[in-house]
Amino acid sequence: MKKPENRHIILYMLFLMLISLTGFAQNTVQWKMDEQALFISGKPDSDLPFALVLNDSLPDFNRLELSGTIRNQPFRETGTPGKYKGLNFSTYGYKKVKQLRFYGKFDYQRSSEENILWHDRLSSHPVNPFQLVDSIGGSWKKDQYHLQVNGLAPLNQHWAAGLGLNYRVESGGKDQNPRAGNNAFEAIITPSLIYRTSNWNLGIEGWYQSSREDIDFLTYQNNIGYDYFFINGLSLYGHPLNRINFSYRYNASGKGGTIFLRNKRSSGRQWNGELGYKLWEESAIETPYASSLDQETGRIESNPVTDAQYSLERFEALVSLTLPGEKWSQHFRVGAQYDDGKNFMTKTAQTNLTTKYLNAQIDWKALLKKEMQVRWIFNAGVSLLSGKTNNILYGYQKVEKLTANGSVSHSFFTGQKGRIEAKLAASWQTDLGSSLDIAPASVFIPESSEITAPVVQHNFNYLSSENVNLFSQIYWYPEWKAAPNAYIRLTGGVNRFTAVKETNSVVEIGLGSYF
Amino acid sequence: MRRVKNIGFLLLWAVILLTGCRDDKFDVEPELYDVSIQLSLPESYTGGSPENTTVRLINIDNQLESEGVTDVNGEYTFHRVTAGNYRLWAGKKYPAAEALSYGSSLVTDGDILQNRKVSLNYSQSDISVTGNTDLGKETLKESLAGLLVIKELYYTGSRTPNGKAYWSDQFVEIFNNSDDTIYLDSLYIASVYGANGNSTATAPSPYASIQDSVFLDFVWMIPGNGKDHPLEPGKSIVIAQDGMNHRDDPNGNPNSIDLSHADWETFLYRPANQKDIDFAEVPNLTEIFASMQSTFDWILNSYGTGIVIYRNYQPDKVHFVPRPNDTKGRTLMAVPAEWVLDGVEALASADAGAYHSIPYSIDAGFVYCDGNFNLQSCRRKIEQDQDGRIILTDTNNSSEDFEVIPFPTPGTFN
Repeated sequence: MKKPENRHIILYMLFLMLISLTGFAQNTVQWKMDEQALFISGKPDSDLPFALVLNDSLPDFNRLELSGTIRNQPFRETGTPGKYKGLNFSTYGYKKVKQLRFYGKFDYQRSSEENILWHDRLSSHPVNPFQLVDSIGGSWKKDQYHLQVNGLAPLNQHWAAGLGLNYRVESGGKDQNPRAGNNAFEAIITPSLIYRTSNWNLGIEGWYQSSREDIDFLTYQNNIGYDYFFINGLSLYGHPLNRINFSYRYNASGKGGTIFLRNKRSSGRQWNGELGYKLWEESAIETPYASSLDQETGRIESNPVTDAQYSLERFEALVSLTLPGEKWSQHFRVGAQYDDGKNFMTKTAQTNLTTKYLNAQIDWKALLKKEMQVRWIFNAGVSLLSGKTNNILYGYQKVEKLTANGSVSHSFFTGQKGRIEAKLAASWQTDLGSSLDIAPASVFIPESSEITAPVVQHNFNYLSSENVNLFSQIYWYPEWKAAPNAYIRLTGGVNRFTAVKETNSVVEIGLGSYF
Repeated sequence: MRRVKNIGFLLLWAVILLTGCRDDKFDVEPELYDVSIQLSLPESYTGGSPENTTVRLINIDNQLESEGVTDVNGEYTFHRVTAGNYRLWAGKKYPAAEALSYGSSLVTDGDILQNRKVSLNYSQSDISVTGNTDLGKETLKESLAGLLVIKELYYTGSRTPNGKAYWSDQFVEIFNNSDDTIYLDSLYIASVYGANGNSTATAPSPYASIQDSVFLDFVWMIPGNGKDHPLEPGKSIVIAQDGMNHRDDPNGNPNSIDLSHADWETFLYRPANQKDIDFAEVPNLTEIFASMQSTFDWILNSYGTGIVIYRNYQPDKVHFVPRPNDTKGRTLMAVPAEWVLDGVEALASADAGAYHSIPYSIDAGFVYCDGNFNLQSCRRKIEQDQDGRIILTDTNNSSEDFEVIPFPTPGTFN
């Protein structure tokens, strides 16, 4: 486990600057349900380009939360822990300074994750299907820092320009030989330009991404070599490598953009449309920075070898309609995301893996106000995941899953004891005909390997398992005089996999405040 | 008009932003190919047919293989072959009498009397498949089972009752497969340089691609003046690392074997730091060459090693090459592959074929055991047993010729 580096301290300082920038605003968003009502059309960067949201007249507000999470996951995918214990600190805020609008966010997360198998990256679900793993597994400790700053400035009556910066730093280490020590960063820049009229907003947002993850495998207290495997989707790539120490790097960059459109009528009815495209590529590189001294020339030499390059094209589309009202406000949303990935193997100069997945969702959300206060929030949605991971010449995995979800949130006023917001949510996920078909097209392709049962078959069983998820959350605002919008959050959920009769659970407690 | 300009500008920017697209190389998908060969009988054969010759294509990376038999024209085509590196082996056998009737140049009346078989083989390594591949017309080469062959190679070692690894009981056994007495004087026995694939941390020998020479790590010779050490047909000699009864010696291993009756032992004389013990009852081979002078015995790698026996026909053709990745300037001894009478490649596992170090003309395959220190031994199969006169299988392909037995059998077949 490596200690946080100096750059993390710099992040802390940036965070403090952010706090001083936002200041303590007049509080117009006091509760979680207020915030949900404010962003009924979508939150910046999660649902809509930030510029589209920040261009509206948002009130200034900030939120801060410290929370702890415990998850037990007896049934899980490789890469996810059997038990997760996390400590999270999160704060963000919106601020208007003259004509400029700002959004800032800082998160810190420390986690202890037990018994992760066949996986050596910090992310439990890396996008790239080509992964170097060891077969021993172990428990990890991870730290993650995330800083985000967005700004938007009007240029004239019709034009506005925005800029977003995202910077994420992660580090982590495994407690068992071979001990992986990982360091990763990701930077995203999102410049944007908006053209506005009284009813229309037309905009474009660029997306430029760069990331890197370095893994140093070290063996402590002995000189035993361990086997390392290259997982490429459903099959192994090449032979397992037996090494005492090993260094590996994932280097990625991406670019793309989103065109968005908003039509807002005087009645308040609002249409949003969005079309996005991203091209992202990640290279898997062996020994990129392990250098050695050439005794004859005296030069430091490094001989990186790129094993594979994964290229992902992502197409996104969204249409939403918001119907505000004095009592009821409703929001309808139809969205789709299509991922088209291909993995190019440098040694053979061939692409032997493709991934094609469509994720489509329909959502409905409704707010019920009483005495100008949001008292109920209803949400229902259906999503479809359909796609195929195809190891050309080896076999494929087809995934067809339907998820239906619904939730209801209600706020209770409890007099001097403050306010309670309670949420109950349930979702049901069923398989519509997923299949795993391994049929090598040649006798020279092995039908099974070391990863077939513990990784490929196991993960497919997880993906295609029917499951029911129940979730509840309570925000209690005790109305302390010192911090009138402070709250205690209690969250609990269970996820029952009916076929395998296993239940995963999560418990979270948070202490936070709107200010 | 100005509004149209503004929107046009915005769309132009969008086009510039989104012009990046995926490289064409991501559209190159893997394909399967055909690999074909046509085999013919040796030129001296006026009869017979190349039909029904077994042809085997082996992927060097994963050792998966495909097998077929040739048609009446000696042709065979492997379909749906993946891109990669392969080796090919082909062979068929004729009874000696039939081979003679077709025009064999090797068969004698004695061979017919003993019902020996003539092997017709062809092997090719370093086949790189990147598209449909025609290996062309090739000729099968005939050979009778070798005259002197390695009958058994025991390298895995054993474990003591306390579980300690024990390797002093290793041995090599050489068998006279011919009908004549062979004099073993000046016969060379050597271990071949190269990793066995137990650990991928060690790369295959860089000399493995040189197929006309064998690169030797350790070389021994049977002493004598030419006719001092006769070996009768069907008889064998055992060359022990240590010629002792390992079962009852205080420093031995009761789980091991008795090598006190071995014919020879490999004693390393190092007066400055003598660690090897000379067992007086068993005569010593003559040490010819040791790449690693610091070693204290002829220890075979317990995961596998290549062994060859050869005659030195022309001393000036022996040369020395640098030992790879060696900082002390040590060397290996290189001798022509055509001198080798017999050889066997032993590797760590079934998928260690990429570590093959012996030229494929000597051993087109390899043997392997299930790990080490388990007493497993590699023994040549019996081709014929006529009234106690045993002829061993020898097609220069140890994958075919050898079997793994659970307990060593020095000097016997039981």
